[in-house]
Amino acid sequence: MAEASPTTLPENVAPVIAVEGLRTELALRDRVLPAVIDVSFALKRGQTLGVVGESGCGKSMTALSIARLLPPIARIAAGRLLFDGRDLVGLPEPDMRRVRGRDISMIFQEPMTSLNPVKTIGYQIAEVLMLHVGLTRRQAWDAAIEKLRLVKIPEPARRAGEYPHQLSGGMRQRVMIAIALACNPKLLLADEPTTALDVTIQAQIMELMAELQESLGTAIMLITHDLGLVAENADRVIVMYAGRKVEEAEVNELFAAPCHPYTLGLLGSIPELGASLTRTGRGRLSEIKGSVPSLTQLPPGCAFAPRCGFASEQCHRAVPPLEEKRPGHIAACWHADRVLESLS
Amino acid sequence: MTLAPESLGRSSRPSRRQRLFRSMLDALRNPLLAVGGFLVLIQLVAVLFVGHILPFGPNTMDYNALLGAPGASHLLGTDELGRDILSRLVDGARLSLSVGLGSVAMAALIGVPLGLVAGYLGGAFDAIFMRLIDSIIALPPLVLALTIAAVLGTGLVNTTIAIAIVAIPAFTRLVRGQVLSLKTNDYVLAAESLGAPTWLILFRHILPNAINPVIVQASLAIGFAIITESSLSFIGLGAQPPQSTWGSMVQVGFQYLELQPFYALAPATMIFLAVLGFNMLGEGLRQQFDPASRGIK
Amino acid sequence: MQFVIKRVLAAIPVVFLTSVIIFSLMRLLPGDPITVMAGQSQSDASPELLQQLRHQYGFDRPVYVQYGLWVQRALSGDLGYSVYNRLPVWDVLRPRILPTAQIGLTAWILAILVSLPLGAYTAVRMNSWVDWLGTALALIGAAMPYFLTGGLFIYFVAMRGGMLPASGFVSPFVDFWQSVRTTILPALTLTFALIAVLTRQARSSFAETMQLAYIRTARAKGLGEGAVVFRHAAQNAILPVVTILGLQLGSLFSGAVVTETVFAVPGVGRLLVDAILSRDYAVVQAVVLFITLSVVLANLLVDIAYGLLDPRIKQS
Repeated sequence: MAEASPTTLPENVAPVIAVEGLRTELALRDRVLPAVIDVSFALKRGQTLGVVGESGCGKSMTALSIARLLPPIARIAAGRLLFDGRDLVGLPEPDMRRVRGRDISMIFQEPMTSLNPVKTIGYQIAEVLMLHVGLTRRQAWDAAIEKLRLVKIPEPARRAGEYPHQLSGGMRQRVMIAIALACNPKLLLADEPTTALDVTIQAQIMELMAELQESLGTAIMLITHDLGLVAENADRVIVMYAGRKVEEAEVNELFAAPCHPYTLGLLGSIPELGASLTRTGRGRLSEIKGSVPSLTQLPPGCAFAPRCGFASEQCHRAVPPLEEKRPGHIAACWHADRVLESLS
Repeated sequence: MTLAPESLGRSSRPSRRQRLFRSMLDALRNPLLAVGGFLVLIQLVAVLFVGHILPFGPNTMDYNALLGAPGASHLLGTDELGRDILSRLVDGARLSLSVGLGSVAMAALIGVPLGLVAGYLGGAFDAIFMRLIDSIIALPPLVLALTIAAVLGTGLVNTTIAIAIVAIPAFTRLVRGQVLSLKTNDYVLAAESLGAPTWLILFRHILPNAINPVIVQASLAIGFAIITESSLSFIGLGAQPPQSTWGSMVQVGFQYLELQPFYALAPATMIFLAVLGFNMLGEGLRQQFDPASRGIK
Repeated sequence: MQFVIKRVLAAIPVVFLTSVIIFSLMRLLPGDPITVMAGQSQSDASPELLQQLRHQYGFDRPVYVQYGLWVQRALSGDLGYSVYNRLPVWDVLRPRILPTAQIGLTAWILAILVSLPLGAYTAVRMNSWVDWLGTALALIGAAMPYFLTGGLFIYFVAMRGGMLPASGFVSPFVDFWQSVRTTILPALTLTFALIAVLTRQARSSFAETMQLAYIRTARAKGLGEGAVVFRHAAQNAILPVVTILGLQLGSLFSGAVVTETVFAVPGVGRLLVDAILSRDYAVVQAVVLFITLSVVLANLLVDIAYGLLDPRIKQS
């Protein structure tokens, strides 16, 4: 197995999840494309890890790999997913099902379509409790009402008997959170949980997640392309590009001293970064020229080089290794020094 | 299209589906058109040429071979009057196809202008007219065809008219839908603002853009017309002796099913192949015209 | 239940318009309508009697009054008399309903029992070979005339195999097993085309449903694939199939006309054919009306079933 790339986890705390050298591939008819390349990171109890990058950078694929919910054409080709001391890669599917929904939960982007339209929301919450906690139908229903109360849905007893179409988008996402957190999971994979919601609702949902995280100690992997969201909610941040982790640091460190030109570009796309740290700015990652390279045509060197203002001949030839550029701050760039210099 | 891993992750299943459908249809698209076209073509060839080279005429009686078994001289055997079944099949193709093509041509010639007008004018005319069309569709097609045939009387011309009437609503609805989606297009609005008369807009600007689905529908309707004609003739309401279509051959042949199964089953199989041919051709054309519809029914 | 009432009200214009169409068709029939209504051939009725009947039935009144009278009589069960055997039309029609209903419903239920699991299975186990087979089956099923399917069954199963009767119908109240035996072949003939259509619809509908976000949610909950398909996909996926089921009820009557001729079943379809051939127009009119009402009623039931399956409909 390839040597895992470095990660900056403190030695003394056992992580909830440790991803080591994850490689996920898509098997097309005539070839195999890498969607996630040698990604490593770890996440502690109660911590929130922000994963940012443009569409197509492998964020969602990483989360789906951890939950082992990859689409049939994708598979984990290498790496380990150490969860609770067990490697989830190679865990038999029946055992994995006991982990899913109980120890590892997911929230998706689409609150409008992520709930089954013909089942009551009470049932959809109760179902997880019956499955994993072994409650009876009656007990699970009562517990589901409690969960609805927990996610601050008014009149939970009445709402439990309603169907998804009777709820607003924000309410539905609360229900999704209730489902995801019903069994007090150790890890929550939140894939763009607020992208489809409008700004005020967004803030409420993030606040709710933070509160529940506080009381349950859940580790959250927050996948988003919204840097404002990360700035407010994450402890650590991973920046991904074209399937690779290109930078990782504590949130303040990353925002203060980005070492990768891509991160710099992302930050540049937020107007008045300082201001947006306090309000929920919707930083769209559109100001970097060009677009994410197609997986079918990854350049031999750094994947960002074609779009990068700092790129040299070396960048086009060789993939830069992940190195510690500042204390507790790793990045994969040949020219991190110049990037840092450009800030001052 | 670039293959972005993000999109594969978030909406992974559609892309897999698309991929599968595409691969399935890449394989199927040609066969549909090819097999359908081939089946239709051999019927036309049979009607136009094969009749002349067969050794027996459709009405040549051979009293030495009544209900004869298939053999070297009569490939599919003979009927109760000693007529060669193969020759009669080929001859029957002429009438069956004529009714099929004739009734669909009639239905299209009436249904398409009705749809154009209903869709373009809109308003009360459209509302009442489409309600009427909907109620006609509420009746089972064969039952409606039977009833109209009862009103008109038997015989192939009346059968053709009855089938045409039943087939009109499908054309009208189809064209109306097309017109509704086309009439707000820029080029139509431009023509209107230039003061072009309504008929010119309909036939010059709207109809040509709505013609592909009509061709598809026509092909499918021919299949429907052939099966309906044969059902009517089988029941005794369509072709009357001495005229003979595949359906009326099946009708008589059923009486001799045990003695001479080919008598009924051979024309029935011909009907099946003819309908299959036109249906496949229609489906194939639909896919050809509208790649987006591939695989989704 | 407000929704049920709404559906019933929506069915009324369809019934009204179709009854107008049937009434108009009957007015267009060759011959004097009064002979149709009176159930008498012109030869054995005196002009005075015809005149009297004409007045009695309102044929000297305006057309819309005639229509009203016709509806009024039909609602009170007076559908006129059959020319053929001088019986009230209802007495002719009534015994024909059981065979048609028994064979049709058997075919319908068989089609559901086969198509839904088959469609679901082929959708979940998506591969090009199964897809190809499904497309071929659908094309063949749609193109097979009932007399070919029925003819093959009669020739191979009844005549060569001698396993089941080739024709006729026995009421289950007379001889249950014989009734089952006479039902099998016509029902199989009818169901074949239905299975082809429904399986295709079920397959595409299940395939589409399995791509939806809430299926991923169900998987993320840790549910097994069986629970995902049966508890979460099935109820949604069968909705479009239910619609097709309703639409196909009409085609069952089309099929009954041919199938009952093939198998010599004394049902509604055969009655319609015989009535048309013997110009027994009062019976034709009654049978067409009966078929229309059955189709409308069946679609109403399907609509209501749809509402029960889909909470979005029920509450909107």
